[in-house]
Amino acid sequence: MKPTAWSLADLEIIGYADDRDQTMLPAIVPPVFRSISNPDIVLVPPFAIRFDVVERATQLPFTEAESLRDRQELTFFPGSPLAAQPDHQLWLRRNGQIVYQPALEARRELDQLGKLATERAKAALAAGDMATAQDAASEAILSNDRCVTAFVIKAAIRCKLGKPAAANLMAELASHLLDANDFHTLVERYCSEMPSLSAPPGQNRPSASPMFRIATIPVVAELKYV
Amino acid sequence: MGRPELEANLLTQCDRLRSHLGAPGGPGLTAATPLAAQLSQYLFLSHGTMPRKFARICQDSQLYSRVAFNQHTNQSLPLDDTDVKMGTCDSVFFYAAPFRYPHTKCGFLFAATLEDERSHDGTASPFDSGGLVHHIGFPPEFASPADFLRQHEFPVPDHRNYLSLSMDNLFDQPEGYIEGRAPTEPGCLGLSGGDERMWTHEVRLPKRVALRGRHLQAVFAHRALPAANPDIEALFQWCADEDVNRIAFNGPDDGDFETLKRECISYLRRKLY
Repeated sequence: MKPTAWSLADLEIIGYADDRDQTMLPAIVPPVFRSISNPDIVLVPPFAIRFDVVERATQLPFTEAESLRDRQELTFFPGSPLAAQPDHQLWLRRNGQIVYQPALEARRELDQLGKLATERAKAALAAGDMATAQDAASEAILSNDRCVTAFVIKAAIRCKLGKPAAANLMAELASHLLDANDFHTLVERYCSEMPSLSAPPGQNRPSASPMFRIATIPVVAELKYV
Repeated sequence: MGRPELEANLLTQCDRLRSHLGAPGGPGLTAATPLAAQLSQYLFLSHGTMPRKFARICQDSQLYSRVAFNQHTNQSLPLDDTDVKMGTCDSVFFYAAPFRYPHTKCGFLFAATLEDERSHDGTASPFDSGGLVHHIGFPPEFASPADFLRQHEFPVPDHRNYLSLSMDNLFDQPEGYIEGRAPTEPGCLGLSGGDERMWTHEVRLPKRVALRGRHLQAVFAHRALPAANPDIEALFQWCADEDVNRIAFNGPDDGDFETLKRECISYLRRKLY
């Protein structure tokens, strides 16, 4: 009978079970564990890590893990393995850098990245730079999928582009944060403050700073949920 | 392998299982239940994948076999590759089951009707074929994992008859197969040492499978993926227009990397039992 729970004390992290390009980063990724006492045993997700124990992992021989790596199902670290620690989170920065740190610190850092990216998205939106606003809003959502303002910004851009169905999809994706009516109210407010898409860059901006009006939209949802 | 050989394999293995169960002193053969018949007939096909491939599939609107994809990119597979050894490298793989390892972020579910459409070239086995190479033990009378596979390869969708028989007789309840509970009775394939892939039906469809078609049942993704990637967003949009189910779920939290699996099982419960 194979064990169903593994102590982190006997595990090291040799990589992660994910593969994505930079446009889909940052991201929290599930570790790929290897047993220290029996290096032929590799644990892959789905699993749950409860304090210092990994539960319900799939156990593979190392050769099978290598085979999964070769088909881009797993990514192995280029360098040395990391010692597995309780209450830690493995995640990848936007530039692909691997971070393994206490879960609370990881959450704080990702939340902060989400807030900064949201601010960049708002500023770009105010300046009429839709491409930058889109990218920054994506980064905000990838950092923290509770960044409701980033979903709203994406929806507002779609509305402005005459794609109401695409805006509705954003409302659906943010439905864990805000009901559809409140979401669309915020979208309308952002839309009303956006410069016309047909205007050349630099024209039709708010008369004060680019952030003057958008920054004054109350972000009730963010205060409540993020 | 032609369809007559696949049908003969299926007949042989169904007979063997019935004989094994009904033999004197054996566990006994349960009468077929409507629930097992229904679940085995309608159980969806899962194809889990990683975010980069998921986005590419959304963009191509095709699931390619590794051979077909490599032809596209002018690459070849190494001879020691598991799927090359098994003779399955030109197939797109599915489980007639919820998403399995190592996927946690995204995947597709197809309706069982996909197998009807591919009954001329699809095959299935009542286990994960790749597992035979690495960790699932098989009886010594078979010369190789590929040899064992050839003699246990079934036609689609008929392999579901064997699945129905298994659900009724090898599991505590028919839905135990879907919920991922290990069988209470090992059956008679003679496999050992593996995990749930030892009894999960694998379906292999050659070359390619169209994504945006009438067989796509549901798309699952961490909600940040359709929000951040335009190809995934476009698929979600298409699904909304075509009434295909979209399951967007929260990212991993507190060491929980089981959300995709849990959401899938929960979806199957809602739809099938």
